Amino acid sequence: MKKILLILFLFFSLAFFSGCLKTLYPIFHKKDAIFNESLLGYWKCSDKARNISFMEIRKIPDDRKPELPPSIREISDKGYFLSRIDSMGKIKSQDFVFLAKIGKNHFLDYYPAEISSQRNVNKHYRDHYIKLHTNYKFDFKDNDHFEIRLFDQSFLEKLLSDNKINIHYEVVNGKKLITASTDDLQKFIIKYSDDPDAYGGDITYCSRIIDY
Amino acid sequence: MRSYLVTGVLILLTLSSCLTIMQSLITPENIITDKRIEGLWSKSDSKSILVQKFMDSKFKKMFTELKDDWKYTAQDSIFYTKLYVISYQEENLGYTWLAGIVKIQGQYFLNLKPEDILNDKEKEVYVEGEATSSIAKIEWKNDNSLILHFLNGDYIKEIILSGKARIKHEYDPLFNTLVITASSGELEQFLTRYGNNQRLFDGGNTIIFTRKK
Repeated sequence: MKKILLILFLFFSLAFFSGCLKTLYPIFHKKDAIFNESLLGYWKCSDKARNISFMEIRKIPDDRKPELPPSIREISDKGYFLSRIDSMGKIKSQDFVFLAKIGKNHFLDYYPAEISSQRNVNKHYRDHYIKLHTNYKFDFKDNDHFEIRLFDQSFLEKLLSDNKINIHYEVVNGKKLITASTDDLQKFIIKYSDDPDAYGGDITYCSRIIDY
Repeated sequence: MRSYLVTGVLILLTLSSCLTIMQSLITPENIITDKRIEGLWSKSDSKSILVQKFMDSKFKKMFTELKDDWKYTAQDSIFYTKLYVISYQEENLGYTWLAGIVKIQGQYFLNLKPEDILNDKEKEVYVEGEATSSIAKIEWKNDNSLILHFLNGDYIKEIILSGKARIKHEYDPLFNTLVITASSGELEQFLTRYGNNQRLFDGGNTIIFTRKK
């Protein structure tokens, strides 16, 4: 019910996919994926508003690999399985995550994994949902600290409205979905990754609690 | 609400992938209504499927309440009143879809889009991702029976990637994502050209609705 309210609202307006920059294509090619064992562990994270959450990052378990399509499964040993956990210990979401170096910076590409409540949903219904990628700029401060930064949507919105960039997108349910290819996404990321307005807003700081 | 006391059979013959379509086929200009689709239909396992007009569904109250807040036009309003809401229960989950009918060259097509799933506590079950549409051709057998023939996603993917069919799409081989990005008008052109080609539907999901009094 809530969704149709949103769809009706968006039908009469235009916005980006809420929360973060979602793309149809990943930001990395197979050859870009790198594995850094230091990322494995249990992390305590806080955002700018000091909201506390936790992340468990481990290697992709064998029993979750079948969820990945065959081509990406070939490099699943370079991937991570990230669980976001709230302060009550409840898993909020789980993602397959790939670390890639693009230009001179590192980025994380998140691809959603199925959560347990979705497994009872029939296949025909689930097949109607396309999974989207979310990316974060990633900085390892030292072995026990890292920070991730989301791309600022309003920055992209301004670039588009000022005709400063030409990046493919589709308007779906009144929302803009970036459909640029991986190559185009990488060019875009390289161009703007050091711009403080591009990755300046939404920062999450994480500190290691448990080493895996 | 027009409803029928009916029983019948719904058979899911195959389980090939559906073709995911980003833009809806239906628009305020091409959407039509057809009373033959309304009613209560039941599956072979005696579970029921209810097809209602949007304004007869659970969404009516919400839609009416929104009128003062969101300044949509009369045309927008008419569009929503022509939609159908399809709902059924399966393994303690209540599924709801939004559907619209388009008539192209004498053939009827149904655009289906998932709307929500509620669990037995009426709490929404979240499905990760962005909802897309699928298209099925409607075969009206008689007043008490119809068949939905869904486009065969696997076959269409194959002919798109081999260059045998041209329709706007995006394909990411790494995560094996293919989505049709053609506009409503382009989808209509595609169906005008290929709607009679049975090969596009062969092997796709087929659902038989049978109504009994």
